Amino acid sequence: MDNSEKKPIIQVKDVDLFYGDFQALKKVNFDIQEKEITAFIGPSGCGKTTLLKCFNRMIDLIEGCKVHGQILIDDIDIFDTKKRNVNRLRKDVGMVFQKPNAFPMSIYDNIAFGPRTHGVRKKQHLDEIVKDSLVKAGLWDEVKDKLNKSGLNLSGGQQQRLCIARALAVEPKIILMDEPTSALDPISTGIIEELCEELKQHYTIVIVTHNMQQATRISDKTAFFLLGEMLEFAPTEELFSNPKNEKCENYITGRFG
Amino acid sequence: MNILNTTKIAEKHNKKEIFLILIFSIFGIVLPFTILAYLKLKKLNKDDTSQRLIDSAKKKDKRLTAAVILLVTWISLFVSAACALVVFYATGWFGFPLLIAIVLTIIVAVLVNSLTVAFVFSKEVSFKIIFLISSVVAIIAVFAIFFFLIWEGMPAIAEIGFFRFLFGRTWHHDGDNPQNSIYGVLPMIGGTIVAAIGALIIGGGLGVLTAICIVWFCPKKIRGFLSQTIALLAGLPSVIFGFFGAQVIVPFLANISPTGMGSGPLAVSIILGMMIFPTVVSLSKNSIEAVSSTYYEAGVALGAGKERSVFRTVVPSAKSGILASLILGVGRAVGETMAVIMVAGNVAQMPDGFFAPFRTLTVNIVLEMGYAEPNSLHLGALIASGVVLLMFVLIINIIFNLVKKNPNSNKESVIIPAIKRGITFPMRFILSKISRTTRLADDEVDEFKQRLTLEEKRKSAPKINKLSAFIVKILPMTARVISYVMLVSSIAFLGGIIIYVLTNGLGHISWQLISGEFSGFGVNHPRTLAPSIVTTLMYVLLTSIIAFPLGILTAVFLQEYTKKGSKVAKAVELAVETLAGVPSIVYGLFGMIFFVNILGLGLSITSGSIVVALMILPVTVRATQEGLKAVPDSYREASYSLGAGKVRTVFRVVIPTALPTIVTVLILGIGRMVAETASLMFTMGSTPRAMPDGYSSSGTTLAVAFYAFTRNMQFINEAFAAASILIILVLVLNITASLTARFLGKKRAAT
Amino acid sequence: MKKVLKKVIVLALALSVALGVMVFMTGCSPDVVDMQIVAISRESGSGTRGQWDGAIHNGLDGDARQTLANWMGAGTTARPLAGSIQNGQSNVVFTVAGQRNAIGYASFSAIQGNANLRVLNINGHAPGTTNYPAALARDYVILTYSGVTLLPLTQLFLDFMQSSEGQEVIETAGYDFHGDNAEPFNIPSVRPTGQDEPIQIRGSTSVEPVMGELIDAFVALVPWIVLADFDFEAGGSGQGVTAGSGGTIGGSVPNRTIGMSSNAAHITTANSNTFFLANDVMAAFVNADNPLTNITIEQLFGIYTGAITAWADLIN
Repeated sequence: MDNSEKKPIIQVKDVDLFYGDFQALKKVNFDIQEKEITAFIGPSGCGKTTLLKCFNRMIDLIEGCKVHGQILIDDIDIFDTKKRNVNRLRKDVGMVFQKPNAFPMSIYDNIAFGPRTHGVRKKQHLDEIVKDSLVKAGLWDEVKDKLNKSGLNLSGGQQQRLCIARALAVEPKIILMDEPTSALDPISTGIIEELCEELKQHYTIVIVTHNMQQATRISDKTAFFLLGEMLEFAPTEELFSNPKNEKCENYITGRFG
Repeated sequence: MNILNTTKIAEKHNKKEIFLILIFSIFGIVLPFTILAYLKLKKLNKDDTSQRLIDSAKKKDKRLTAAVILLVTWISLFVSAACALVVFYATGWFGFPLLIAIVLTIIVAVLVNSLTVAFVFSKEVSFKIIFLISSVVAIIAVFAIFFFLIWEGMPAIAEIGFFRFLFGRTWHHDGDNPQNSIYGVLPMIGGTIVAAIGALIIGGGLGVLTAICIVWFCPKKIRGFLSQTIALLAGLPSVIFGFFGAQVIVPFLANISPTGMGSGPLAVSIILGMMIFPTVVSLSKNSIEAVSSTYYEAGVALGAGKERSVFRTVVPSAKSGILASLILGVGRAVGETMAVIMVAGNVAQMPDGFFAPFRTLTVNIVLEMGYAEPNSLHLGALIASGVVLLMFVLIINIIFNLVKKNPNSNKESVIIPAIKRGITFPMRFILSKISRTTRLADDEVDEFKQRLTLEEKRKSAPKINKLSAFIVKILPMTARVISYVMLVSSIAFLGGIIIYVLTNGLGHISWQLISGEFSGFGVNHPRTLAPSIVTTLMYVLLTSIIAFPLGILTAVFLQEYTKKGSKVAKAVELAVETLAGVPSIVYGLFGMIFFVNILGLGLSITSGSIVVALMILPVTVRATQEGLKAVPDSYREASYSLGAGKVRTVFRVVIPTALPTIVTVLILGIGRMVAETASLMFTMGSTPRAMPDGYSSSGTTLAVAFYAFTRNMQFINEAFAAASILIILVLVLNITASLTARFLGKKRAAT
Repeated sequence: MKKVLKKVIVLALALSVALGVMVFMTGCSPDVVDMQIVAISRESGSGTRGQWDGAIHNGLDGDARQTLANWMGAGTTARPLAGSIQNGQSNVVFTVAGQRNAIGYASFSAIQGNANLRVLNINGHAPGTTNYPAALARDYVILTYSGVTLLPLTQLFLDFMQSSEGQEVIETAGYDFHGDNAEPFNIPSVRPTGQDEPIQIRGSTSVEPVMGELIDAFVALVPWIVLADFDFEAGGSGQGVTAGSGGTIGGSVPNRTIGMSSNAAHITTANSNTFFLANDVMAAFVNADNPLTNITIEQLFGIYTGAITAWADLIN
């Protein structure tokens, strides 16, 4: 875990999270380095998606949720409402969801939604941003002639890439991905995994995945969660070849799922 | 004591305008401070979403500052209120209208201040306040109506005597000797019940069978066409149904009636039944369609045949939805006025056969409210009968809420089985006591079961005679035939009404009728609809401005800004439900007394617009809410994750997605406005007159003008022509609504 | 093929059933003589109703009068006859014209010349003749609130109605005028100030027709008055009496409201100024298909209390 050239962009310090009385996260503590792909793995209900949603405070939308501890992004506690405006946080920390959720608007409007929200008005600027994001998401060639068509007309894989482009359009530093390919066919999955490899040069990516092979394919570091605790956090190769935690090993080898 | 020389000014202008302006300005200065203090106290301007996450212990000192500001603000508020009251007490305008005006002004002032705050402080908070205030209007309206009903009605009941009122069998108002008047509503209660049951049997029976037929028996190609057609007919104005009833049905029935008179429960049942038919069909259809086809498939797979499967598996599953549609239809029938008054006979006696003249509660009110003296026992008795009517509708609503399926669970309603059990329990109990069958021991039972195969069991069943067998065999097809017959006759009937009116009326639509100038009240002057057309446009505009923003904002508040089960949400939803149940004639009564008389707005377009706006508010809220519910949460999530706040998400993502539904709601609302008659007659006017000068003029809308034309035989052609225009207008509106919904929906998906 | 055939049969069945019913219904058209009597009356606030009940009570007091008053309500010993209550004079006319076995009553001026109706002679006398029952003669009156000064336009219209020009209009419209001779009307050259709002007229549907003529004549005569200056509603004599005595019924404002009533006896309040407007008579009438031409007061009483129920009893 020592990387002197890169600094931790996300620091999770002693985070406990409660849904009412139920504790979903227990004393989670680790750092995520920037411009890397970090994967969260673990069985269902272990808290990995919950932690992911903390990073951009989508947790706020859930009633009865209480968080203790600190999460620092760029050294600022994101829960400190005086110092960190939540909308600006969400600009810096983008999210791609499990099921592609393009707006029922044109492709252009889908991508332009974010920038417009944050104040970009000039058509020229918007055009540039739209093209830029679509290029980065690898979708430009496929849709450049139909920017005015509805985003819902695209295939599943294309829609997901549209959602990625949409997230990129607001110029985030971190991109969170919540099982982004679980609803897609293998070919689209492959395309998006390739995309992640390219994106990590400019963005920090945190990806929750149910598919361990995916984690091995694309992530630099992996964190293993079980029942709300983060039991192991190591560079991916190390974690999968030589896990230190017994439960982690059991999970990886398939003793339980 | 002439402060600001107000008396002199008042002589030149309308008094009410003056004190409204004065109060408004006073409150307008003070209230922003109240809101500021509110903001400080709640720290809402910091938190753009509705959830605070971290426990914070730093509030103490902030609270003190905030409390001081709040205290100062409220003191100044009271001082200014006191000043206003002093001013007007001195000039002698103190009174109930002043109080109302102050309350209304506060509301307006708070609204305006919220908007001001919006430009200075957080957009989020001010919008939340705007939404909240809109929703509170519904609560205020309910309170106002109930307060009014109780305030005016209860003293009358007390004076007459509760039992003598409710169970008195005579209603007679003696204009010459008011002390000889007797007010007993039992005949009218009987009349309302009879009308409701009759409408249920005809409209409900036809409706349900038609719905079943459309979903299961009709060829696919015409299914959509049929549903659309029937939905179109839902908006036909009730006066036209009544007119058709009086012109065609009643003389028709008179030929077979033993007394030679056609009016009565049968005529009313037919007319009301056909009026609620489209509603019942649409709602039942939805329930039947929602039943999973696996039930049907299972039935057919067991060899049950199509009809048997449908009637024995699908329909019972849709039971609660069908029941709900029936109850809704009955609620509508109970509140109906104009159609009934033209065919019922209107005699205040208990209905006594299919052809006996009778009166419902609604007709009783409409018949006499035109000349009931203000503050008289007579008027009080009428209002009290409105209370009785309201109780009816509330009971029906409660049954509705108990019966309909809880959308969150898949459980069937518990009420029906419970009722069933309750009814059959005594029977089963008695049967078990008198039955002589012995109970077999368990092992005997198994052996017994093993011995008989299905075939043997069938053979050993009691023999039925050949006739019964034959009936059983053709029953399925008979059921199908009957359903078809119901479908065809219902549509034929409704189509018949339209054809009848159009054939008699289209030929008489002349340029004079549509655009001629109003030249005189006398019968030698040609009738013209031009003033009514203008009046209708003005009225629709004002009503839309009042009802639609309020309705949409309230729906947004309920759907987007409240958590499930929060007290505010429950209060607002309860208020909306209650308002939805109030019959339209009660709104008319309330409007007549409150807006026309007490507030002094007189018979005017304004009065009519406010009343009808209140009437369509609940439907607007509910339907918009459904549209908002249908927007998937994933869109909202995506919007938030991109950094958009709640206001932006609501206005840029949720509402545009729900736009097809919202537009449909608006257009259908306009259709409802156009069709309304009874309440408008007593708040806007019932005699056609010259072009309105403005919103304070009285006037007649198209529907009311039509009704006025029908009252004079000389103008029967013009009446038909007006009816034709009305029908065409309503049909066009309905078609526009469905086309717009489809077009906008397609646009979303394919831009 | 079988399925299509099935559907065709079903459709044909449905249509023929419907058609058969219609043919059957319209085919049944017995003579009026063989039918029951259907009596049409007015709502309880109507001046016409009040006067009618009073006129046909046949000199009876007490219980018999109460019988009429509770017409078709509980408490009558005779089973009430088929009939209906209509709100407004024109609805009565309308109903009788459309129903062959109906009988009704209304102002004679409203029904004369109507080809669908036949006006009955009462006790052998036609309406308008000297021996026609006096109880059926009616005075139309207009009333205003005595506790307030009328606004100028309203006062002007009131003066017009009482002037000789007004009388002329009334007589041209077919009514009698048995009042005193009136002065000619002075038309002011300029519109008086002091009334921006319309003149309100409220009241009896029986008076409505002649009032309509008066308004039109007034507007035609006076150059600076327009039809929009009138707010004209006819909600029954009860409304007229209340509005004309200072009540705020139907949004009426006492200082610009003129009430109309078809029954002068109705006006029991002391706080109104009443003015005689026109004379009329009430007439009983039946559908033109009904052969009856003459009827007695006793028979009318019988009809309206349910004692006489069949046309056969009256038509020989």
